[in-house]
Amino acid sequence: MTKGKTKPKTILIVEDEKPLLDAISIKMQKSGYETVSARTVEQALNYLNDIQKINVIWLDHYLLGKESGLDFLVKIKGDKNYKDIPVFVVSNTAGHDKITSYLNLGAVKFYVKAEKRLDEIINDINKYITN
Amino acid sequence: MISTEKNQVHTPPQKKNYISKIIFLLGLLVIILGGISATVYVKKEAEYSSKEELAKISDIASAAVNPKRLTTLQGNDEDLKNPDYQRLKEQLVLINKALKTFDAKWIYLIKNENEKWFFAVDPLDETSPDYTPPGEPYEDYPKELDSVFTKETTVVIGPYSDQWGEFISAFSPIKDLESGKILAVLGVDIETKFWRAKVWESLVLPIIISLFVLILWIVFFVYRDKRIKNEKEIKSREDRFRSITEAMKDVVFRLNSDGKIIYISPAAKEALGFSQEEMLGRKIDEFASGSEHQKIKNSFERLYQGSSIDHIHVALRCKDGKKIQTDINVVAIRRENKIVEIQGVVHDITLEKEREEEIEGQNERLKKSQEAILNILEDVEKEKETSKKLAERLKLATQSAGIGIFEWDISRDILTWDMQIENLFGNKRKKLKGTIGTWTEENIYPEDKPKVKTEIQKALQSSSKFDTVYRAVLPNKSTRYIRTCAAISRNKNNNPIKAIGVSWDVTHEMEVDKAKTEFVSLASHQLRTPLSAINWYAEMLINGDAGKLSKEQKQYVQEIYNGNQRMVELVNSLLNVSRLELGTFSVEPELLDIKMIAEENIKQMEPDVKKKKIKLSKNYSRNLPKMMLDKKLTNIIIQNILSNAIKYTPEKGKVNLAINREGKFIKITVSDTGLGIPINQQDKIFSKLFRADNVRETDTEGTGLGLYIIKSIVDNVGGKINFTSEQNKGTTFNILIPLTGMIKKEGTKTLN
Repeated sequence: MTKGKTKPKTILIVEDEKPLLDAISIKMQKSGYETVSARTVEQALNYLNDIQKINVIWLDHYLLGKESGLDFLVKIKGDKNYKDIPVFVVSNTAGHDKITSYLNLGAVKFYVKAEKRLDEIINDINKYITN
Repeated sequence: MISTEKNQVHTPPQKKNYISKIIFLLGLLVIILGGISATVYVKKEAEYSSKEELAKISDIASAAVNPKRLTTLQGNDEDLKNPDYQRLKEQLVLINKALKTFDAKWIYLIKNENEKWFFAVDPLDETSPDYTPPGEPYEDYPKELDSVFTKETTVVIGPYSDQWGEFISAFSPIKDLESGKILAVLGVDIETKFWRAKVWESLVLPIIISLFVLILWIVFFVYRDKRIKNEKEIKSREDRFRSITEAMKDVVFRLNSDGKIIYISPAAKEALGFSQEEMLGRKIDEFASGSEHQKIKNSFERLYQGSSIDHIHVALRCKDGKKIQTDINVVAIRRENKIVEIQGVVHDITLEKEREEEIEGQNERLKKSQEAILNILEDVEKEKETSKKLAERLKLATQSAGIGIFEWDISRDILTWDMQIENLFGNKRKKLKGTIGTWTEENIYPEDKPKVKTEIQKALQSSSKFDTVYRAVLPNKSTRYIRTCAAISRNKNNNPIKAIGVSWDVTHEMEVDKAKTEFVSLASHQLRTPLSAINWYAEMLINGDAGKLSKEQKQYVQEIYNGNQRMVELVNSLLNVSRLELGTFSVEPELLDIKMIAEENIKQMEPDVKKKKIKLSKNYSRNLPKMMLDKKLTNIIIQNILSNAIKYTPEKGKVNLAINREGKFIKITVSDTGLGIPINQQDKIFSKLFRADNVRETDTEGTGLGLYIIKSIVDNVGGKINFTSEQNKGTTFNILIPLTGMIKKEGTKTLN
């Protein structure tokens, strides 16, 4: 939970399933974040550009369009403006290779959606941000 | 002829030779010297006697000269008119004639006055060129002429030479009868050559005699030498013959014309047992048995009828009664056509005969061996044919299956491969030899190179098989998936020396796998997404994020949440099962401590253990080695089996986890005091989605997939699983994993 005068953090949520996207947004807002939602890589990149102050990214693997979360991660990690933004990957696929790839590229953590409670993930994000 | 000379004192031949040579040379010397001295003596004698003769002639001649006539001579041309001179001249001519038989050349009178000699009378005609007129001085007279006065007798002088030639002269003084004074000297000259001829004549005889004696001497010695040589030759031949016959094992014998043995070599003792003395004088027949006599008789018949040699095969009887087989060769020695002696050689062929038979036998055996060898060779040929055919079939098979074969000589780093490999990797260069380094550089997809190199190293160092899938990059830049399996042969020191392997294209399989994996991936995503939504919304509701709920509402939402959790679990398990069944999961062993994995899982289960107040005990034996284990799979096994034990044990029950070694395995034992498995349902307990009736009646939740998954994993990694159970008493599960660890398996996905 943010303290008093500190500016609220902004989270970019990249998720293609609408119901899930809504649930995450609501919960993040309830936790005191400002949320920005994108359903494609392109959208996500645009938001990154437009909104300068993205503090953390919630990234799914499968997205609308041709590009996947991995492509997005590759792109932002190659951009000096965005490479330092912490990325939490939350996806329902759990392929060993995929997980390794995400972590190798610099994702902070990888969660399997169905196995994790929302509040657990948010807790981890909070902890990470405040450090 | 038993040698008697052996005991003689034997002057060494060289010394004898020496002495006789000296004698010969001395004799030669004597004869030559004798000859020379005799000749010289005879010569001298001849000379002397011929001179003597000349002196006598001169004497006689001088006596015929009338001294009175000499007194009237003046010694000048006036004498020519002197009748005394003429008379004297006539006298000289007469004497000369008479002396002609004595080869006298000149005869003349000379006078000495005032110590000078001059010619008084010359018988030659005045017109002759050699005519010396009276009073002509005798210029170069021989000096000995003066001695006539002192000796007052005839003096023979010469040979000397003066202006007329070379002569021997006799000078006889002609004395006055009354006073004895020498009035003149009569000279008789013989030409030296005549004189010498006379001398030489006399020498002929002594020379001839000397030569004759010399020749006799030489001939004698030569003849003697020859004779000695011959004798020596004969002796040495005899010796050689003797030594040969004595050394020979064959018996040499000589028979006289009666057929009696007159000589037998010492070998007889060895061959027949009889000594030489025992055999001398006997007939050969006496040493042969009755039946053999005819043979011997016939042989002699043949010899007597004219043959000079013959050969028979006879059995002879030894002294000890033994019989020996012999070959006898005989020669008839004839003198004036009559046989005087029969010589022969006896050759013992008993041994030879035995050896012949042995050789026969060996030949037979050899033949049999040869046949056997030929048979074996035939078989080998057939085998070769078969192998060839097999190799051809293998080649065809691998070719048609697109399997390439390669061989790697590790110590020399020589990699060889066949055309199939070339095709697989799209190489058209037909270069079939290289090194492992260059080959991997040229043919493997860059990203996969490290993996392949690592795998090669691993295979070389441990005894693991080489089985890897990697991408090959072709010259046209396309890629394909290639699987390579290789077996490594090692030497006694366990060093790798050779690798033989096969490679084939698995692109299709990989794509199929990829497709399957993608399907499972997608399926899991599709299934999980709505489940996630339900999860989170239920979570938020319960949390009160959408407003406070009544107790009943909360309860209902909780049920929704719980039901959803079961769904999630079910989906997870189904996904694992599908991966297991599709075979697309991988096994990636690493060196792990199984205790640690067990502990991690126990920790995870703590909440449930605490809630149900279950007594959880653990039992790890000491010296549990680290093993090659896939972490994920080991987790699934232990987690599943533990959670089952905890789930199906009622409150305050007991669960025990033990890990120890059993034979070649590690055994994980989980025992509980739970519900147990009914006997009639035990055989179905590993089936998919099966839950026994007794647990279905309780409120426990389960997918019925846990044991199926565990068993599938265990089976896949080379382990075993078994259990014992009694309903309402408890269950004990044993999972065995080989100490050698889980076998690596390539796959596209890991299980969750």
